Amino acid sequence: MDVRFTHFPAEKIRAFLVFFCFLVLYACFSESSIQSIVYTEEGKAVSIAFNSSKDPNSFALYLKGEQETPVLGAFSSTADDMFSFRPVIPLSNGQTYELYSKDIKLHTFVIDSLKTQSSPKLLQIYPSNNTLPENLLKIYLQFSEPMQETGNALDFIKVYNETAQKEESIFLELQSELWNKEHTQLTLWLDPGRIKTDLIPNKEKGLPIRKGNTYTIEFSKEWKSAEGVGLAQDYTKSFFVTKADRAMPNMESWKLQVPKAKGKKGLLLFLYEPMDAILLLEGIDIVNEQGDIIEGTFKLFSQESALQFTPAQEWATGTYKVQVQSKVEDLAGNNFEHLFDQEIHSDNAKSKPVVTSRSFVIED
Amino acid sequence: MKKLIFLAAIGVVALFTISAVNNTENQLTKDFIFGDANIASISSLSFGPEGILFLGDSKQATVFALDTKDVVVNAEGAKINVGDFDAKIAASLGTTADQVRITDMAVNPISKNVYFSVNVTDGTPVLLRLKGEGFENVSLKEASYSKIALTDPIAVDAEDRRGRSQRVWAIADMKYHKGTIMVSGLSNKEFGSTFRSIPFPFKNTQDYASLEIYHAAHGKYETHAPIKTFDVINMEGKDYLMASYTCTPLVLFPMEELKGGKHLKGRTVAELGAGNSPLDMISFEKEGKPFFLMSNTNRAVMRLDYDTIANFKETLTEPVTDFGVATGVEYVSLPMVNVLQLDNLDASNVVYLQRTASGEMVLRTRPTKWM
Repeated sequence: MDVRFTHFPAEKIRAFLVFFCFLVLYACFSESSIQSIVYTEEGKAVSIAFNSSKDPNSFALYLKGEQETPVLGAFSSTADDMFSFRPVIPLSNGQTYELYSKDIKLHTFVIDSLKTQSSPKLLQIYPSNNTLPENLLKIYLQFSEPMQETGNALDFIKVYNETAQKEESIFLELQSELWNKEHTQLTLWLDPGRIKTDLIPNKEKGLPIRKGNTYTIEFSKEWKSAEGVGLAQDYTKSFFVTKADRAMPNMESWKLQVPKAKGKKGLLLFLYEPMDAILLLEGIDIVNEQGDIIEGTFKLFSQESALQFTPAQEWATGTYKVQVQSKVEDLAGNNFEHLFDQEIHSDNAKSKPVVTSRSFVIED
Repeated sequence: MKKLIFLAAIGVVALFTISAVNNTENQLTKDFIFGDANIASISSLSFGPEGILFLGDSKQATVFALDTKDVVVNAEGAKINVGDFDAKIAASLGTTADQVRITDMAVNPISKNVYFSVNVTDGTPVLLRLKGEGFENVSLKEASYSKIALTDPIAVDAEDRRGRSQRVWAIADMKYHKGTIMVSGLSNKEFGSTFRSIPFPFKNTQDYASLEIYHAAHGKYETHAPIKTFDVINMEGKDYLMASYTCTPLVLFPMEELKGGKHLKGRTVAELGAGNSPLDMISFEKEGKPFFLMSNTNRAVMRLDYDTIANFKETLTEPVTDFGVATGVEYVSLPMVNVLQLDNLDASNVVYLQRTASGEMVLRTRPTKWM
């Protein structure tokens, strides 16, 4: 059988991807056959090539069993009796398709990229602490792979109140889920309307999680990656709920363990309160006397209640500052400017964030 | 002779008119470029003038303006009744219903064609146009477009220097109104909301407004609550932004004051009860009277009368004492539940996407006289 790989100059399929092209031997009819299915490096079936002596305007591709709605895409002639079809989106792995010429079925073929997709893992759940305040505002989930962009995340999450022995719903349902751009990190809000005192949801349903109760959150392995592979396992997180945190974070109470100059030993910051991991890592900097940011890396430990800063270059003697943007929050959404559950007046949405800082001196 | 002068005058007027029309067209699309728009996601759709469709890309925090060139005038839209709608959309993309997500729907006010934005499981965005019971793909790769990035109202200089991730502003709702595209967004990090208005054609300007609402139940003001959906309504000759918040208060802001980073206090006109989230809003006319419709996650479609809203002069400032009781302007619950998408089809019909009690997803039209 003659195998040809169709060239699509307008597309981003480079010649080096061609080795992924996979020959499907479905010789269905003597006058025509599927010649090849072109896969990208990621294993996506972006086009098929076939030969046929039928009228080029008569072709239609259907999902197997579907008779009414053809797959959207473009047929084009590549050589005598040779055609290609490029679907609008890649054909789905594992699906069977049927190529028709009017009412005559020409071919049936299956998409099998042969690329083994790894199972995604739930790498981190923030906060990592197992004792949480009853006015906890949000939970972050970090995955090893981009996750599916269809369905609802909350369909894969069950919250069980171990104390009351019942399933509960604690998260805010949003049409536009709050993923990062890569679709590997999801932010789940505990319903803010239930956390803010005296709002209707708060009065009707009370706080989403309550003091003295133990909860288990289950993340189902049915939750799939963008490539359609389920989580490696079911994941759970159990935690006990303590009293609400109604205090603003205070930098004055932080303890600093300052290293000596001429070394790269880490600066240790003990916050004595678990903070919002994502906001903290984004909103903290070490600056020198000139206000220049010192290059280096921050690492969280002690359930996000302590940090280590390791400089990229050796410490030089001098006065430095730990600088934190006021938007950085504790687990209850209290930041350095205001409590979450409080009357708020903001004069100007454009106003620059307030920066809170603590000085320290590096000595020989 | 007089006739000749008259004809010449008509000719001149016609010429001016034609050139004016051409100028307008040029004005709107003169900065458009042709090629792959590189759209990463479509979370929101809204039609502007002359077949220009705005697409909200949450992943890139960008609004795209796409010239659909779909400008053949149709006074009336076709009657629509399509069953198994999600399965049909999926089939047209060569996949099954569980692999697609319909993120928004918009009707072109000129052609009355219905557009859908669809996400497939790996996140590839697709724009489809309904054609009979089938679909046409509207290419995002060979498109005439312009775009504007939604800049963060909060300075992020320090973050940028260290190459840390920018905030994701998930676009909650987006509407075009009189030369301006308005966008409400939700942050994936702080509990906060942004509301901005961007003049179209896009320049390097966007305006922020800090909107303050009064929670009747709460007895307190707050600025940070996110807006889920909004619409612009005209009452007594003035345009108002009607915003619906996550905690269901319905709040009015005068449009003329929404600029220059100004801090505005809204007039809370209704508390629509807890455990419910607004999904979509439209305005329509019935027997010459303007009404307003809102679909919800856990309640039926609500109809509000403009007159009732206009006559409700006070703002809710007394804390609500009865649990779950909606207060403020009166509304009518229509016998329509689980309406996922809602838009005006033409002057006397709406089109809606609904999950029926049997679980089937249907796309239907309905005369406004029955709304």
